[in-house]
Amino acid sequence: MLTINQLNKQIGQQTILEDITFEQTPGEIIGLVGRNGAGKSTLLKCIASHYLLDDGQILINGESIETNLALKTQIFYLDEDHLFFKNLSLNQIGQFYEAAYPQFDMSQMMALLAEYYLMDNQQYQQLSKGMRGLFNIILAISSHAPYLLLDEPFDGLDVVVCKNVIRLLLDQVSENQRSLLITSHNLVMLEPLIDRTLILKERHIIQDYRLETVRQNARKLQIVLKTNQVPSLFKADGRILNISGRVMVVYFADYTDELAGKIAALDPVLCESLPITLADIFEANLTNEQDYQVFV
Amino acid sequence: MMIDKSSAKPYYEQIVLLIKAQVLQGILQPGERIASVREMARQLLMNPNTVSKAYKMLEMQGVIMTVKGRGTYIAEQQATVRDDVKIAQIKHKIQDLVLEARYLSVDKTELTTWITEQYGRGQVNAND
Repeated sequence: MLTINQLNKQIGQQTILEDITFEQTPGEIIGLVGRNGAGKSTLLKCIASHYLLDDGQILINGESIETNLALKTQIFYLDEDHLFFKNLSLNQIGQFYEAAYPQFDMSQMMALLAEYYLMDNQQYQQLSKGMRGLFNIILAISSHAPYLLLDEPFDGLDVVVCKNVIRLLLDQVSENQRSLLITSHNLVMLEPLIDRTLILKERHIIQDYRLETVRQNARKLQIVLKTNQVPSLFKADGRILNISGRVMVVYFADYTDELAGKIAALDPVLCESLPITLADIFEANLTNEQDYQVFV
Repeated sequence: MMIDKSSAKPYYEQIVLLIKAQVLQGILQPGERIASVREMARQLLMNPNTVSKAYKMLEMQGVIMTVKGRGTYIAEQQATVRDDVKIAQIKHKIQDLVLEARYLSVDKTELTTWITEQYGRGQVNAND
């Protein structure tokens, strides 16, 4: 079990993360989502000890990774902005990681490289973006660290490579109960993969939920009213996702019988429930008024 | 096998229904081995925990059975036990459907034709 307990992080004068607390069990896949600049990567860097915490703890099975430093080898993270190994060959990179991760499996890495037609004597910087992404995942898997932190792992991959990457990761989850913490803007890809979603906004985790639970409580309704006016009810209890003419799509996080009654009382011409996706919850939680000004 | 990502149904429920549909259509035969949780997760690019949840439900309902160390199989005897609670739920759904249909002035003959058609579809494919 990985526990993040009341983590705080300031960079310069700015507080980036505040009171971040959550747990991850073995074999669990968590999606970390948020707007650009919300602090997703900063959070991963904090968990991976690339950044020092201003406050809070990171625990593995109840033990702080600061008191038992060996625990840090149970967490894998690759900071793609600061790769020290760009001009090294894949084989050499493996040797570095073999030194850092005591359980690193060099023969597994070689087997995976061969499986995906990557040459171990090739330089990292000679690889295409997609192949780098694939190699990063192979490196993560070969590390045998139980907790993998993956920052935009599907970014820039073509469909085939992307499916390969997902299959490699899913195998690790099924066979070895490894845990994945994934940030991605590709919500369609992310949705069927994850057990839970954490939404990061304004320094905090504002939501920690399972999509199936949300689906039970929330409703996304397509409503057509007789007038052009948007009822105050929609803004107070819901989140308007889209308006085109008199057709409105409104998301209600907590759809009660009382609310259903109020909506029925508006006497809508049409009131239809639509499927809820991760993208809806993202929009409903993370869209600001100014984002809509473009359309209005 | 396809999962509809835009459906309002939870993923595990979709997997349950898909397997049941394939059994009824004869695509999956009693005693046939089906993909393990791990293989199915790979095929569908889906969380293994979700697939595992679906398989547990299917096992509880007697649709599939898991033989330890050997794999997951379609159960030999299908739907011999009538689950009264589930049947009552279906009856309730039909009541709603009939109400909606009548409201849309779909008459009894038309509706029963549809039902017969659906039954027929399972039959024909099962014999293929």
